[in-house]
Amino acid sequence: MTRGARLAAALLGAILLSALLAPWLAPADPRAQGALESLIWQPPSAAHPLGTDSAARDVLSRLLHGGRATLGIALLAVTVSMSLGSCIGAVAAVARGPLDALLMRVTDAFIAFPRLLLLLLVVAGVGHPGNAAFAVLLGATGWMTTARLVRQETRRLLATDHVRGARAVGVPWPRLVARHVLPALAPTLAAAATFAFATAVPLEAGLSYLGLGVLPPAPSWGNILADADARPLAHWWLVFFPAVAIAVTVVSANVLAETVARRAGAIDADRGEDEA
Amino acid sequence: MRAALVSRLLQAAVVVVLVVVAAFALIRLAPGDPFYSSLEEANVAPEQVARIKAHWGYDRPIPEQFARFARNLAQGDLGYSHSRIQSVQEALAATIPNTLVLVVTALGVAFAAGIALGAWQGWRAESRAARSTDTLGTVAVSVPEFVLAVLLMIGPALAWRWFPVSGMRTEFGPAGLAGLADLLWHLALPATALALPVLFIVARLQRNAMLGVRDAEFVRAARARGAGEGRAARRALRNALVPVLAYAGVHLSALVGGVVIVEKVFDWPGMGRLMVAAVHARDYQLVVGGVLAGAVCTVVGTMLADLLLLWADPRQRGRA
Repeated sequence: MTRGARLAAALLGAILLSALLAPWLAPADPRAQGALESLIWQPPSAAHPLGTDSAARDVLSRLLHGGRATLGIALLAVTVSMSLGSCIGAVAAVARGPLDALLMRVTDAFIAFPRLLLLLLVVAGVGHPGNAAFAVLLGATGWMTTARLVRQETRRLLATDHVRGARAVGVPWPRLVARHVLPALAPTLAAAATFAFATAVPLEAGLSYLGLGVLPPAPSWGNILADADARPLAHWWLVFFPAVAIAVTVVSANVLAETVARRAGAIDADRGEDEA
Repeated sequence: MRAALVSRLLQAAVVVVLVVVAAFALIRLAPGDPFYSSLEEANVAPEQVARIKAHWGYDRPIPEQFARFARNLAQGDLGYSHSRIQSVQEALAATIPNTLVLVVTALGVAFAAGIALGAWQGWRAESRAARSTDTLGTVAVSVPEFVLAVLLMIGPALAWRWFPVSGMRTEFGPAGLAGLADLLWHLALPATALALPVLFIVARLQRNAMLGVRDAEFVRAARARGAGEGRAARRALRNALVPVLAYAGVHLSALVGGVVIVEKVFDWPGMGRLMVAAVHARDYQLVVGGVLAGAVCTVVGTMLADLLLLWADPRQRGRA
């Protein structure tokens, strides 16, 4: 592990931990509004280390709780998209023939269609679905690359000696995939999941910024930023801190994902040499 | 090659048809309608509401509504936007060119600069300058357009006042050449926010591809025949373009999300901003029309990228 990757892992760990411990770390209730008009839009001070927003709420508390929403939604979305993508990819690889072709055409169609337009469409139709449903929605529109990856890798693994051996002794398909294929894919999937997380965080933040994701008064990194929309320079702390939180999270996740991917690649490369 | 193109076109047509059906179904099966906030909340008499709904055909069974929608669509009629009080095609016609100006500029800059940067990084991979710009790229790729847009807004636009904060032209501004300069001045920041992440992804792909072909036999042969460094690099470049163009084809649809956000941040009068407003207003016809137009634009862009790929890599021409 390089120094950069170790730093990225530490930063990401700290951010996740701070989000997890938000109820105990936050100095104030993230939804508690200040009693006085003069308390709104206070720049950072001793009482409010990251300032206050348009309703005199403590930005530090909102940032910590907002991280809970943003990161939680991203994690749930990644879980959904990875599960869905793995299932579709594995089924396509095992089935071959017309089912494989059909599943891959559906995947192509989803890839060709802009993810954000799909999300806009659903939000327009269903309205604001609540955070959990929103996360599932993000996941349900992000499974395609995983499906392709899993299909390709599963087909490769199905042709290897140990899997063919297992098949020869009569191991049924579901168990074959679960016991002999997916474990071998774990490093690749871990890298893909970390990349997907790095995509889901700004997607959630962006949609919440547009007013289509996590709705105020519930905080998210995206809608804290939106609060400064009218005067972002005068209220810079409402932009700066969530922007830094998003950027640090995404950069760390990407650096980490690249390291994991390189390792997964190295493992695969070794295995390839063994076979040759 | 023609067979490959025809099959791509058919595939694209299927995607668009699926989008139309899905869009209509999703929007019409959902609760609420465009009159909810304007009429029902405003205490208009129920029979009056029913009459207006009947006038616009919202009282008909859903299959019948869809049949009419599809028939109108085939004739180029996308319906009526209740929030904009104009036809959907008028609303789209007014915004699509603005979005295209933004996207084409951003992609043009991103690909030109990204290919140049990546080719240089690959050709001179051992130099310190190439390595440090590559590290910079890793960070730049990771900063979402949305964060980039807001930071660009605060620094160059608000704090230093180098660029306008929002919009596309100065109101009552100059025409002609000065008008074009005015447009470019407004364009600079939103285009940068869209272009930067793409630029560094392209540079990364281009660099790796260049590394792959730098010492290939046809490049060594060109050198052996006495071609200068520049000519040998050009030979390598056309082959190294293949992964970049393949990327463009696959990831174009992912860029659309960035466009919507950047338009919102910089108040660019394009389709993205229109769509967000339409969603907030529950303006179904406009949402469906906009999604459809966005899907068609993306499909056309993807096909253009595929055509370029065929030009750069003749080997692909044989494949379906």
